[in-house]
Amino acid sequence: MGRFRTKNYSSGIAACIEDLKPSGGRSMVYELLDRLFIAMAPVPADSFLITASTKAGIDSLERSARGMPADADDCLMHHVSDYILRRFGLTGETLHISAACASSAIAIARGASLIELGRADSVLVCCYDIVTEFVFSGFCALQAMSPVPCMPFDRGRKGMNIGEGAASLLLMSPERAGREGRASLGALAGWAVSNDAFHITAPDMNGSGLILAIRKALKKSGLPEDAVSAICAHGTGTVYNDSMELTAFRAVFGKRSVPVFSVKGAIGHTMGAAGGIEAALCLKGLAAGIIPPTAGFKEPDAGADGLVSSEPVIRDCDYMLSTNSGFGGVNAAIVIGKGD
Amino acid sequence: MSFLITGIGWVTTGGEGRGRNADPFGHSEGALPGLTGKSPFASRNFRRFGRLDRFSRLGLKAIAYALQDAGLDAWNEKRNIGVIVSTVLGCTATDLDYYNTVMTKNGILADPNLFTYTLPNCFLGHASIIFGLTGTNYVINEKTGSGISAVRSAMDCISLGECDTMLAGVCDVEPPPDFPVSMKPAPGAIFAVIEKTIERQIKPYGRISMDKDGILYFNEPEIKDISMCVRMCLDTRI
Repeated sequence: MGRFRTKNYSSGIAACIEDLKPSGGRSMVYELLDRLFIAMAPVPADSFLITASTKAGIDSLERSARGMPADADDCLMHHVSDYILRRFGLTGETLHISAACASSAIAIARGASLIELGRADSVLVCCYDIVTEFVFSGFCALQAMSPVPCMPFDRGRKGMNIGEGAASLLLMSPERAGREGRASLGALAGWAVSNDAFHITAPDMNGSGLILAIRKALKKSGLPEDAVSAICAHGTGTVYNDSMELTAFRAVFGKRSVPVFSVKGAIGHTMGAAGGIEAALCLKGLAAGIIPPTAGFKEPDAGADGLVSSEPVIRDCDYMLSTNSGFGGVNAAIVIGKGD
Repeated sequence: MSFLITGIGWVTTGGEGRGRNADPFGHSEGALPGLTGKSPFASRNFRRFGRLDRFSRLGLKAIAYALQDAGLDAWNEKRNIGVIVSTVLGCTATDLDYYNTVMTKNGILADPNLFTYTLPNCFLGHASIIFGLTGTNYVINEKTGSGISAVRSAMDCISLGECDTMLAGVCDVEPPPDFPVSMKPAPGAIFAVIEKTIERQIKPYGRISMDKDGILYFNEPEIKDISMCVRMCLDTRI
């Protein structure tokens, strides 16, 4: 961590993007989005824009509070979204979703809902979050951060590392994609959101909220449970989260060993962007026939043996389940199918 | 799509309360009432209320009034009820309070309790715990503070069968005095309970409808924001 001093914190580790920094008194998120959009496919101007983040350009609030030049509005998601609208010349409606670490999974679900309801046929989902002292200090104060690189589902795990990142996904109705001659990278088969109604910062250890979200998402997809070939777990590397997830997966999938992976040992916990980045990685995994490895995983925690691997697994999968859970007790589950 | 409005609750500059109590309502610039933990939590013994940030206390209280108004505050088993709220500034004031604890001693005094409330959806979590709500829940950052985005999203949830009952509303505290954000929404929290059908003994305020373009109507007239919707509900008060 070279972005700010970590001497007084319980961890000195975060997954930061090299050279990402604010310029001209503007938040780092604009630079992050610029980098994100370099390889983005053309976006139709009439697309509905949905953004997701936990704290938007909170680095501008930090600088403003310290009396440095900053645009205070950067910490409002709709202000950042105006930049995306201008970047793509979008003229459609917008929606900006904040739901802790489930933000972007919910944004994807909402985009799919709008298409299902016929209210949009092209939806651009953009999710982003950055590493700042604001967030880093908070998770350290909550004793959620690992002093070493995080180890999802490992029996020796010591917490999470936050990370930063962004993802953009263009959702289209099959008819619109067909009209525009776009290849489908994948399909959203089902989605659901739930609340534990249990605790603000700790998951319900019996997994009830996540179980509810997964079951509702599967019901929505119309798929049987055994259609799911792998699970992209939230897998933060905290003792409670990973244990709760394994309990929930066992409850839904019974004795069937569905491979589980977490990308947070590789890229950190990208907070509000996590679900979007993980959905994109699921699409890649489905296309390549690879179940991604869980970096940092060595010794399986109880219940993870045989499910989690530190090595990539070559397997042709039709559907992956991606789950996220966050503060406030929120859970989201999406079922992603293979594309063309 | 068309559903029923069965409860309304608010804490605004014009007063706080709920529709069936004929409490005073007004959503404009000004100071909010004190956010104490007294009714509507009296029967729930919610002792943590005073430890929440101001944004959460505001929203939570309005949700409690709305559920009470709809006769949905009492429960035995968790329920598939969701909550979606629009906000302009979210918990920016809490963000500043929290960051002050970080700056004070280079992070040593960073306050974990305050940090939790720098996520604007946390009060939805409290509402879920207190009232047993397990449905779809999230926050929408809105430019105008009309609450229309939340109402549309809530109606979509019901339409798609995600939940049969949804709370939709707005929540904003006063803008932080020393922070130069350009948006200055009217402070207050207003929630409406929207239901597909009702089986309990309660007369709804009326029907809320949405056309294919997302335009909302209460009974016949178009509604431009949730304040207008509440006023119309009060006009039709049972």
